[in-house]
Amino acid sequence: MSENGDFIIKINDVSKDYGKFRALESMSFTVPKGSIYGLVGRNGAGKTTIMRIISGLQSPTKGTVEYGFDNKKLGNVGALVELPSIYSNYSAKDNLIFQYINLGLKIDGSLDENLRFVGLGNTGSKRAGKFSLGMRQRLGIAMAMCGNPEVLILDEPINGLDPQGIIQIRDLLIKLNKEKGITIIISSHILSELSKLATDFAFIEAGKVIKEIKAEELENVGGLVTEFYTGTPEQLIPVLNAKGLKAAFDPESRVVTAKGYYNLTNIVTAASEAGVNIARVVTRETDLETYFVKLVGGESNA
Amino acid sequence: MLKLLAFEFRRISKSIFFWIIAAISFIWPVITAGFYRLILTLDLFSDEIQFVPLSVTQDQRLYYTWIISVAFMTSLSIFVALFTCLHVGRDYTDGIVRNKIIAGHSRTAIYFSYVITQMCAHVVLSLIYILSAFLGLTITGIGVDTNHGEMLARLGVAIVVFLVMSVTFTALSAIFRRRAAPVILCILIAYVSNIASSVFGLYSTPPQAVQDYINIRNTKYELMVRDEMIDEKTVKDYEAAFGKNKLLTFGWQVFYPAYLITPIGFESDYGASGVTSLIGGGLEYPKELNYAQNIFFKDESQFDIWYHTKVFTEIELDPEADPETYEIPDPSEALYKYYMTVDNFKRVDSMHMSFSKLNLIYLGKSLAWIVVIGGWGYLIFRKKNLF
Repeated sequence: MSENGDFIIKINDVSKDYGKFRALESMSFTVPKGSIYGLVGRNGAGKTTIMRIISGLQSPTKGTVEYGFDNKKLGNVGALVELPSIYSNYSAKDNLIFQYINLGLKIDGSLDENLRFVGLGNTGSKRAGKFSLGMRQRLGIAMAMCGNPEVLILDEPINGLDPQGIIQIRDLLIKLNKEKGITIIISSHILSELSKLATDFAFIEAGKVIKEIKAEELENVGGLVTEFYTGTPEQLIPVLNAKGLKAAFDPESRVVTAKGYYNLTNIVTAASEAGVNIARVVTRETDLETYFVKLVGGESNA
Repeated sequence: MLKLLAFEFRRISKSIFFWIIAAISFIWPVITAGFYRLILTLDLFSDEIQFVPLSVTQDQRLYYTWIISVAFMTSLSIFVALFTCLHVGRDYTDGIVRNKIIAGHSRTAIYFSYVITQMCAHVVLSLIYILSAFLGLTITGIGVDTNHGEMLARLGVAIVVFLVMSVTFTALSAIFRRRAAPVILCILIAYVSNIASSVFGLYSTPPQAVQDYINIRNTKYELMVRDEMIDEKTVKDYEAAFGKNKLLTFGWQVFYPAYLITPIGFESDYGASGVTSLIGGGLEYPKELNYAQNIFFKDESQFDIWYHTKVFTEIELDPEADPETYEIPDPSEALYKYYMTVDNFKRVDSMHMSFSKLNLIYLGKSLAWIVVIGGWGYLIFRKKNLF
């Protein structure tokens, strides 16, 4: 257990070799307590490997994993790595009963509460093998969150889900993080979804963390950039700043640029009230995916 | 560990397959007892097939009690192989073994929880089988005789021997990520063990017992030469044709070491001679495994053995005969019978072994194999990236 309580997991210089292949190369990052920590990387970058190491499924060849809690206590780590680990021949409730026994928990009302929390309260005796992929994922998450773990590790939890399923899982994870205070480490190929969830990101390339960044910092370096074309730029800038945007004027192109998200109607109304006439508005967005592509250089297949 | 044991016991208790095997364990011996009852009461030699009133001797009762109840070793082996492979294998295919590790259980605890719970399940199935055999024997009227508990001790040893298979199946199931490989391997092992248990019995004679037999036989040849029944050349021919190396065949050389170090010969040792020795008064060695008898009965196709066996079996045995003061009453009478007496064999330690000692040997061998196979599986399970 760490003396420092502000992190939940600290990866210290971790390497992992599979024979001659090095999957992780001196990887280091820190997962803050209470965060939703997104791992971003291409296929084979090492996301699953580091998640397997954190969850105890594998040992690092070199380096250490520091836990900001007692990781020896049963159930302090919950994980859904690769596929949901559930008995397909048993019902959702039976699966949870098994997980409760596995963790040495008392089988009480919390079991049904967990099922309801993930939206599987009314599945009855239906076997998990007959569940849709989304239901299986939710059951997997329910199993992982039994005993209120300190950290939940989710590897591609929305992979293969339909839009409805993605929204359900996203809402569920936000609820888990906000209501139960569970720190979540999550990887996903769907970066737009990840950007809606995560509070922190680690970009992984070839077994190394090449960048750690908070969501708000990401917004600053990327996010929405709007170009305003007007004849009176010096009057428009204070209007935009007053609306919380970071506005700047480029004298060469004579364009006012502003970073951040806004309601266009409000901006136009405010500008009009200030006597500013906006001729044209052009927006371009630097999202997580664009940022990632820029970072690793080249086309992303993450 | 206790949590994992609770987990696995619950899984087993909820397994439909387990209860199907339990039902088979219950029904099978009852049907077998019914079958024997039919044979015992069916008169096939009348003009018309008819049933006769059941009349069972104590020896028969003892015999049937043993062979019906110990049959769990062969009858259940393939079922438990399948059960273990599918049960443990499911933890891999459904990823539950990962859940256990993520939850914080050690690999040691996970592995041994499988081993312990599977062993317990197999003991339960064996006990169901044995008790059901007793029930079947009782309701068919044949009756149960446990020979004052001696049979129960042997059945206890049989269960421990059976557990070697149990551990083998569990270890194999735990070290393969896919289910097909252990299923095929375990069924093959169960099948081969069943066959081997019969084959090994043919090659269980210790080499010293054969040497002892040859010594006794040669003494007899000397007497026959003295009385001019055969000449020296014939003796040399016999000795060349039926020497130690000829009696201990290639098959013996292959199977005897395996018989010695594994418990696979159990059913054979406790089968033919073992069962008959349980039958009071049936043999001279009621509490011993008689290797001399093995030499006679299992290799009798050879002329030399047949020749002596014939003498041995056709004449009345005389336990009082003393070879030291031997005198041939009448050379034309049964050939030099007194040198083949049971007493003669009884003087040679290597010719027989008490069943109480044999029980201990099989217990020791089985426990050693349980440790060896279980430990081997554990080492692989602990190191290999299986999850």
